[in-house]
This record gives sequence, C-alpha cells and structure tokens, in this order.
Amino acid sequence: MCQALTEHLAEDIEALTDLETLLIAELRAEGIVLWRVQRDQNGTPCARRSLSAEPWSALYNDGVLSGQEFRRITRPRTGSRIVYVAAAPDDRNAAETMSWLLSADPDAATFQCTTPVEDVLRDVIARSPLIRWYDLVVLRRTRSGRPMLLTKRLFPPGATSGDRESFTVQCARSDMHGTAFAVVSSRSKERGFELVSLQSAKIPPGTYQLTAELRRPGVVELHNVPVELRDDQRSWLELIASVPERLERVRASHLVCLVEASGTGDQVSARFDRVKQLLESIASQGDGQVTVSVISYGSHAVDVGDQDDTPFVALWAGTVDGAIAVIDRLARRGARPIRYTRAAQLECALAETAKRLDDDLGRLALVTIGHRPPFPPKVDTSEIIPCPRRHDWHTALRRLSEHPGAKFGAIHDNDPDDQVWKQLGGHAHAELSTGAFNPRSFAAKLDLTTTGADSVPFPLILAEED
Amino acid sequence: MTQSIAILGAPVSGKTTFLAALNIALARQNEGWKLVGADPASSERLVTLTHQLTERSYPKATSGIEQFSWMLVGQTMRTERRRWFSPKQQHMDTVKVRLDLADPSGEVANRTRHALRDELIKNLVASHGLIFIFDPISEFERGNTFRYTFSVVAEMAQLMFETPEFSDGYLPHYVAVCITKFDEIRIFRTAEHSNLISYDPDDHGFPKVDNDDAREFLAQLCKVSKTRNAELVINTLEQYFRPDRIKYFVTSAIGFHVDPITETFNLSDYQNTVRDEANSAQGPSAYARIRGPVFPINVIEPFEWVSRQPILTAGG
Repeated sequence: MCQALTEHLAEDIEALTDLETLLIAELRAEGIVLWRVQRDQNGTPCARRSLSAEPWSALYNDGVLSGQEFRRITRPRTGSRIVYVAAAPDDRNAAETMSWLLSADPDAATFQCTTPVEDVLRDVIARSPLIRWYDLVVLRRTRSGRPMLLTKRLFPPGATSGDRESFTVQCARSDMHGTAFAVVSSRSKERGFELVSLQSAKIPPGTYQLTAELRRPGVVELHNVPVELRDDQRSWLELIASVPERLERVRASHLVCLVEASGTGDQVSARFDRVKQLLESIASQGDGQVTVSVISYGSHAVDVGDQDDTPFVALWAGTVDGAIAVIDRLARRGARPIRYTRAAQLECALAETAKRLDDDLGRLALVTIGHRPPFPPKVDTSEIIPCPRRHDWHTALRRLSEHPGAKFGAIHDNDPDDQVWKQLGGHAHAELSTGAFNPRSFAAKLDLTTTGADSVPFPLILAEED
Repeated sequence: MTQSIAILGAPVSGKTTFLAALNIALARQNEGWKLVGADPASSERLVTLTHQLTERSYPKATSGIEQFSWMLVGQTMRTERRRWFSPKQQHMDTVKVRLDLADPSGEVANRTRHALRDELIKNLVASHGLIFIFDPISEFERGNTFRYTFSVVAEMAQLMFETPEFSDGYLPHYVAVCITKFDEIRIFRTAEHSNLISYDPDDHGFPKVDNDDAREFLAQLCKVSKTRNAELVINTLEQYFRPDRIKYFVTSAIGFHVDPITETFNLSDYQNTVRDEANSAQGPSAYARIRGPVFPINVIEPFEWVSRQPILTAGG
C-alpha cells in the first residue's frame, strides 16, 4: 500500500464536508479513471468511479497530449480537491501525462502508487472516523404505558472501526418481520436522524446483552443476537406504524422451580412433566423477560450414620430453553430414593433460594412442585425429625415474600389445606393427582406471560421508573 | 439369697423394650452387673431383644403368651460388724435378682384366661418387689392403665388378704413406678413446662427429672390422660402398697438423640424415634424405628432401688 497516498487521502476524507467532493484521477495504462468521494446523508464517505476509463487516445492527438482536454476531464467542481495518482509508471502515456502535470501545476497533489486506488480508498474509508452520532432506535414504556421512541447512543463522532459498545435490551414478542434493529445517525440530539442500517430477526423474547461493533462508517454489526439478522426492507413509516399504542408492562421475572425429586417413579415423572409444560408455555406465550432456576430436592437422611445431602441446584439464572433441557436431564435421572416418608428438604430448597436470590434478575416467581411438607427447624409435635441444618421454612418463605412483586405457585399432591403448601400456592396452585393442569393459566397467574400483548417492532429499554 | 422382681404394666406399655434397654444400660454402665437368661428360651429372647434395640428396631409386641425369666447378677459391698465393739468390715456379696416378665403382651390379664392369670398373680405376690411400667403415651392413646392396674392389684390383695403380710392393710411389696418414654416430645415438654428438668453433668448432658420430682411429674401427666382415670393409678398404688415403699422414676428405654458431631444432647433435636411409613403389598403402614444409638435413662436405678430394699413383712 502506498503510505503517502493513504495518509493524504485519510486527511482529505476526514476533512471532507457534506458539500465537497474529493476527486481522484487514477492514471492507468488504459487511460484515466476518475473517483469521486462524497459523504452521504449519514456523513459516510462514499467513493464512486467513472463508468469507464477515459482512453489516452482521447487525450493524445498525433502523440501530443492535449492539456486542455486533460483539464476538462479532470476538472473538479467548485470547492473540491483533486488528487492525481500515477498507477502505471511504465506506461508511456501515463508517465508523459504525469510529467506534463508536474510542470504545468507544480502544487498539484500527485502520487505514484501501483496499488489500485479502489483498494486504497476502501481501506482509508473503512478507517475514517465518524462525523455523526450513531444510535440504536429503541422503545421505552412510559409510566402511562405509552411507547416512547428514542435512541440508545452507540458511537460518538470520532469513533473508528473496531470500536465497541455493549448494552442491554429486551426483545418482546414481535410480528412476522421480527424485531428491527435500526441504526441512525445524527449531527446532534436536537437535529433529525438519518437511517444508517435496518436489520431484523425473529428473536425469542428475552433480555439480551448485546455488543455493537463499528465495522466501518455506515456499517454497525450487532453481536450476541441469538438469531442471524437480515436486511429489513420495510420503510421507516411502516415501522413506525407498527408500534402499538400501548406497551404492556414488561417486568423481568425470575422463575425459580423447586421440584421434589423423591417419591415413586410415576410421581416424580409427573412433577417434571408439569414443570416442562409450564416452561414450554412460558417459552411460547411469555414476554421473554423470564430467567429460570431449577432446584431439585429429596429427603434428609434422618438416621444417624446416613450421609445427608443438600438440594441440587441444577440451573441458576438460565434461559427458559436451558431450563427445559435441565428438566429433561433430571427426568431421565429418575426418582431419588425415599429415605423418610414424612418430610422433604423443602425448607433447605427455600433457604437456598432465599440465599441466592438477586432482584437484578427480576421479580420472583417461585413454583414448588412436590408432595411432602418441609422438615421443621427443631423438634415439634409433628414428630418430624428436625432439619439437620436447622433451616426454617417460615423464615425462608418470609424472606422470599419480602422481595417486591414476589408471586408463589404450587403444584402438589398433598392435602390442599396443608399450611405450607397453601402458602407456597398463594397465587397459583394445581393438584398433581387430578391430571388437569393448565400451564398457560398457571403462568399468567404468576405474571409470567402477558397474554394478548401486541407485537413490538423495536427493542425495548427499561427506564429507571420501571 | 435370690431376690425376685416382677415387671408389671398395662398391655403394650413397653415392658419388653424396657428390659432390653436394661441390658444395654448395664453394658454402658460397665460396673459388673449383667443380665442373664434363667433358661435357654429366656437367654435367646434376651439376645434377640438386645440385638433388635442396638439395630435400631423396636421389639415387636409379643403376640400370644410368653413368660421369661432373667437374672440380674452383680456384686455389692456389704458392711458388717460382728460385735458391737468390733470395727466394721466390708464384704463383697454376689447378688442375684430374678426378673420375671410375665404377660408380655398384656393378654394374660384378660379374665378369659384364668389359669395363666392365676399364675401371674401368684408370681406378683411372691415377688420381693414390683417394677411398674407406666407408659404415658399409651395412656394418652388408650387410657387403660387404671383398669389394668386396679384389677391386678385388687387380685393380689385378695390373695394376700388372709396372710400376715397384709395385716396392716398394705401389700408388702416395694414398687418402683417407672414413667417411661421420657424421650418422647410430649412427655419431655410436659416436664419442661412443669420446670422439672435438670441436666446431667455427664458427657452427653442429658436432661432428667429427679426421682424426688417424679411423682409430681406423673401427677401432671395423669391430668392429660385420655380417660382422666390415670390419676387413679397413683391413688390405687398408694392405697394398696405402703406409700413409703413406692418410688417413682422418670425413665427412657432408648434415651435421647445425641448430636453426631458434638455427641451431646441438643434441645432443638432430641427425638430418638423416627416415625415413618413402610410400603407393602397391603399399602403404606406407619411404623417407628430408633434413630441413633440407645442411651437408656434411669433404667437401672429402679432395679437397684428395689433390690437394695430389705425383705420386710407387713409393718416391719
């Protein structure tokens, strides 16, 4: 690559204003090729070459260069600059022309470079800094539920190829076109926006941590999008028209499933089946803001000398699809042995949840699936042996209830009047033994789905007041 | 000389378990006292019972009628002065105490079995002392202790009515009343609420009810019996036996659960009985098993107390 030419073009292009044109005359063996570099509406430098080379025969008459003709061909418009590149030094016509030019206009910007100007320009333009702000178009739900179209800042003026910016967005349910990622440019916040790129994909609802990478001016690549983005041909007006009048409250939820894995094979299999149905319902109907954790638990060893174990955290803060895979694995593993028929480690599973819970993952939806009551923290008249870790289900459940917006659902085959299961199923409950289970209704009661919500064409961001 | 102690208790009051626990308690005490069978059947039964208890199974209630006899054998120090002016001398005496466990299932007390009942009453009359097993839990659930006690004691009195030993109107026996199942939650809590608990300064720090408080404790327990007749048990015993020959003991055959790490009693977790369900072809059925090591509480003491008492006649 010709270093001097590259540096000169980089400076010229960076200084190029919206109204200017940079002209590059490439003197080739076949004639003169003209390149015009201008900024488009986004401030992106664009280079266009003449349709064909102007042949030397048009400039030479009986072997003599017509300076007038050369000036006519390479004459820049008002306010534009021109750069001459001798691309074929061995060609007699090209060499003579460059020689004439140097004598006629000693201040002309002339360079000798055998690398095609096209390659030099591509490299220079790719590395040229932005002169506009680049933003991503997003939606935000206002307090009143109305959608507000705004932008998420990606790159400032001066950003160059390779710069990255990470951010979190939520993707709600979308229509057949998918969620649109529109990158726009602006001179300032107050000025209007111009569309830089528009891509979309049918992305599963959920919260995504994305990274935008500036590949070159005019090209922004989004990383960590779960589905490949494709160019979207919709017009801006079409997109705006598809924004619903109201946005349902989108609240991130953390669904924690506590599954009693000891019992008969049929019981345990039925419990995992119910959890899977619930997760599948959320996957198909949910608003996607659901993080899932799965804890399976059995019974404590109550006899002295028996090895006790703790509830198994099979998944913490995973995706709905990940949770379904985990449930399948647990179901294949089968039932844990019943070591003690009168209680299960429910209190330890609740305590583990209370210990791990992080409100940043969203409001809690606790779903407990099982049969037996928890172990008490100390001897009581139930004569159930106390929990060896002295966990108290009352305390753990109270701590969980204190999380804002927490909701509790239970699927059980126990006495429906049992105090523990009553509390665990405070917002939604179903009985395992009846066989009738409506996962959609169950999920809706726990606010894990927003039934009937309109599709949302842009990614969403949460505002502080949400 | 061989003394004889009879063990008496209402049906399903835990007499067999209590005796099995005695053997374990003697082994834990390790002071030379031991329990041996007086005949092959009794020896075999003793081995079986002890094995069951150490394997954390409750002995099954005996069905049908069995009669066992064991000997409690040990040595005691006897102090003797040959003449009033000579110094005291100490002698080791081998002591044998015959323990008769009749009516293990309690069914002998049924009047339909006159012959065996006659034999039971004769055994009781002939014994030097009685170990009376009072199971508060069984009393809560069945409320049959008074009926059983009164019928047996009344028959003893009838049999001894003409004998010189009954001249003062009391049966001559020493009676150790063993209030069992101190390890059960309801029993322990009653003692707690009555402020009768103290703690042994031994390695495990087990709770206990002092023998001097045991009668009051029994009175408290009797107030919550199913039929409210349990308090008549105390009255009946003290009407038929000389009150100064009755002593009360709060006992536990299996003792309390000991924390496996600290090896001490833990007030939050002391249950040593695990109630569970077993599945069989007939469906689930409730059963109880022993959770951990057996640490009998106050099981030897009643036997010691009875065996130390002189053989006295009425009014003696």
